[in-house]
Amino acid sequence: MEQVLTAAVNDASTVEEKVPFFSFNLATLKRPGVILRLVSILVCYVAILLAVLLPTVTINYASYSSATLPIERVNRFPSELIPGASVLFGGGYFCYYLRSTRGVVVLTTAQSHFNWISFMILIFATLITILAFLMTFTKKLEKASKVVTLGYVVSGLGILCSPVWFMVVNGFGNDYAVATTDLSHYFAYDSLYCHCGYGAIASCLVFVAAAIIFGIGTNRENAGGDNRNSES
Amino acid sequence: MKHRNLLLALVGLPVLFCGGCSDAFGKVVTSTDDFLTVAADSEFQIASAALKTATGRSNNNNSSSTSLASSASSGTESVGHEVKMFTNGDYSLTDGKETTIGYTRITGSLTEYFLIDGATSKGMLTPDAADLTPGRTSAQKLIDNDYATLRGIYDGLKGYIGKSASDYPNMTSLSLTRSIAGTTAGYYLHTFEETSSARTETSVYLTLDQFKGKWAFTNYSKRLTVVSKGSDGLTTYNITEYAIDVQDDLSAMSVPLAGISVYIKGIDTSGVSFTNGIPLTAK
Repeated sequence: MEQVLTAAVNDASTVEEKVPFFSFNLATLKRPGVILRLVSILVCYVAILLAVLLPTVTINYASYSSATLPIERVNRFPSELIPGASVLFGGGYFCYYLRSTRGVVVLTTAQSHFNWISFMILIFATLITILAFLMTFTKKLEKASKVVTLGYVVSGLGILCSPVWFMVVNGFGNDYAVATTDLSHYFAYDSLYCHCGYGAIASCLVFVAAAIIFGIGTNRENAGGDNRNSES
Repeated sequence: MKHRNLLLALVGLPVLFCGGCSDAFGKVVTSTDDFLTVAADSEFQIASAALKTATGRSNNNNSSSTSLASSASSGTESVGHEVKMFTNGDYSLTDGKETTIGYTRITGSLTEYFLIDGATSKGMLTPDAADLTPGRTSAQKLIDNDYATLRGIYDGLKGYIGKSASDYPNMTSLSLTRSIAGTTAGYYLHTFEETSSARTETSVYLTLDQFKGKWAFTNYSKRLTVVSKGSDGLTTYNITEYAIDVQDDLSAMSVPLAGISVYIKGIDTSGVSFTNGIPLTAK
């Protein structure tokens, strides 16, 4: 009897080890939930591509900075779209107004720096896609599906905040140049001209779309119950 | 096939979008072609020109210059001059100490001229337009000088084309950039110089605006910051700013005469009589 029990336990552990972590096969790929999850990964990469290729930061004074700049000057400034690659990797040149505490308004040119904050957001989004891929082909990570959905949304919001990261990294429009009575503070504070470029909005929406698609895919997978075990 | 098209669309769409997006407006100045043709000041209606300067120092003890708590700063600001031009040849001229106003008052068919000392609030009433000419000439000369100064600075910037910091003694960094945002252009020269005793940062901003298709100098700012390397950590500032206001049409001058003590040119109190013939100064 003792030998039978030992054998049974040994057999059980052997069976457990044989359950594959991943199940790549045609049957898995035909499940709508799996297809939707894979599509969400592609959509996420499109969002990343949009964040790199399209303008994610706009400098636009119209009606925003009239309190600090002459209104006719504000109205004459065309929207300056700063390409995502320049925002992300730096090296590009962009311009904005500086108003001295003594009154003159000058148009200055600055070179963008490497934006490590936006870069980390895109790295984070890439890691999320890897997690989504792993999750699609294994049941063991199923509990982390909400992390993926949340990760997509957080990545989208992170890209939507591109103007903030841009100002922080490039040191303008913040307290670096706050006007005080101290002569070392030379320019008046104004950050109301730095906005989202359409690329940031588009990228954010695509990230959200990826989250929705992944969520639907997860829902379809969960609706299928444990069918994956039988299919594998 | 359908999936392949979808994939192509997903990748290709952003590229197409990017093709339609415009670049930012800034660039490095690399040749004389990057310099605009600037018209003479006589081609514009210049409503005002002003020169302001400021100097200051702060002892930061080598801590952050933006921390007021750890710094003791002092500074003086002054108006070098400020000139304003109005219709009818009226003007206002401040040289930092005295303010002179030339004002034309037209009442019906009567035209009279006021030459007012802003500091004392005293004015001379005169029927002779030529009395305003010297002041007006001085005002116009200051505008011309300011504009010529800015042109000299502008031409000076051209000397930095193709140069790097190594071409200048003690210079560690040099950049000359330009932006054109619609009808506004800005040149920015930024240099760092370092010696054994101090580190000097120079920022020169020259801004131009386009009026009726012609470029004019409008705003200039130069900031010289010297940080000494001694134990006192003294930082000194030298700021020079020019502001030139170009307008399509000059505005009319408005002077509140109520607070001004006016006397009539060529007539003193002994020559003034009341309507009944009694002289004003009669005892």
